[in-house]
Amino acid sequence: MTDPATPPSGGISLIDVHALTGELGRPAPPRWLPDEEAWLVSQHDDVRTCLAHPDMSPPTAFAISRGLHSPMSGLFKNTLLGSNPPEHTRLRQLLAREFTARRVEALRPRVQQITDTLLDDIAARGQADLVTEFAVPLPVQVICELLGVPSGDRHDFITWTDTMLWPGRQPDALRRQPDLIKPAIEELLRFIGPGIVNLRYANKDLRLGEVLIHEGQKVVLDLDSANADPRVFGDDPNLDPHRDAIAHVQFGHGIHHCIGAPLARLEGQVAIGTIIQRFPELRLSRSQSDIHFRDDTALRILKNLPISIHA
Amino acid sequence: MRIAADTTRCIGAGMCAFTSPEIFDQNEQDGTVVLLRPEPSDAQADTVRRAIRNCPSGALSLAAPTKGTT
Repeated sequence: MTDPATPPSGGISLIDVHALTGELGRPAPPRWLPDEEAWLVSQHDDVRTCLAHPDMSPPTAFAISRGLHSPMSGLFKNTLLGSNPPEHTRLRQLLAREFTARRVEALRPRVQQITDTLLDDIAARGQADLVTEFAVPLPVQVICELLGVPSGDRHDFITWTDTMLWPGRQPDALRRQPDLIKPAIEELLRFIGPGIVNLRYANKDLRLGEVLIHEGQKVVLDLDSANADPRVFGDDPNLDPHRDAIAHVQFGHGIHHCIGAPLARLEGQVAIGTIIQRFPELRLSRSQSDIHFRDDTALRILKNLPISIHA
Repeated sequence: MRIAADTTRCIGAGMCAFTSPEIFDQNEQDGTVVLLRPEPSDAQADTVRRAIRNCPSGALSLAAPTKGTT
């Protein structure tokens, strides 16, 4: 047992989201989880504070800066997630120009074309697994073709589509009003985005609200709680494409805010917007209990999404 | 209302240009913020405050009103 006042020694560990399930989903002041030897932070303002805190680092950057063992520190050395300023600033500036709103918007016609081609195949057959035949190949093709670099964003919208398919939530409003897709994608990210938790490590002792977080301690950020915080998003717990959801923390906050966010947004808008317009009779072709999420990752990612485009 | 943008803090995330393209743009070289309308109208006050609140790097703020500045 580690007392909250005792910094850990040795290496760092990532988190087992499944072991935390009972703790997640309730916005509350920061609290210590003895079993995990970590702080749990779940209110929207606290989560943003941690994500942007100059004295907190992502696990990979923390491990590398301290020469600690981490499951992934080798992989992330000299990358954006593995570095803090000033290296981070230099790397980020090199990449930022590729992801400006204007540069990404210019990709829209080609993203639409790739989307249309993939959906042509599905239309011809009448049914498909939307994960393997659409949600995976679309962003992979976009990133390979247009940027020539591997993508960390490819999971960003794999889970979204499922929300649109559950009974009673058929997106008629989106069909009538195509412009609504932009806020709708933000609302989907808020409501059921792929990120469940994010992690930070304290570089030094610091105060968060009423608690004192000690140097070296792990901080688990409960993204679902933050994204459901009624003080920011209101009391209605339902999916509502009209909601102003832009303050969600799916893409993070602070200097490590996802650099690929504009591209992920564009792909989400085109992919889901096109499916909604093109396949008004879209439905699950198997029962909901046959739809599974991957259990080998800390992200919320569907394994399969069998659909039929005919009623 | 006058917007202050700290381009040394800005990381070029482009959230402001995404949510309020009529007010914010991005530098083509490094993605940092460019103010198209440093002094937005009263009607734009809400969208400006929203952009400030959601700027990931905290590079945006409202400048204190000072007589004689442009």
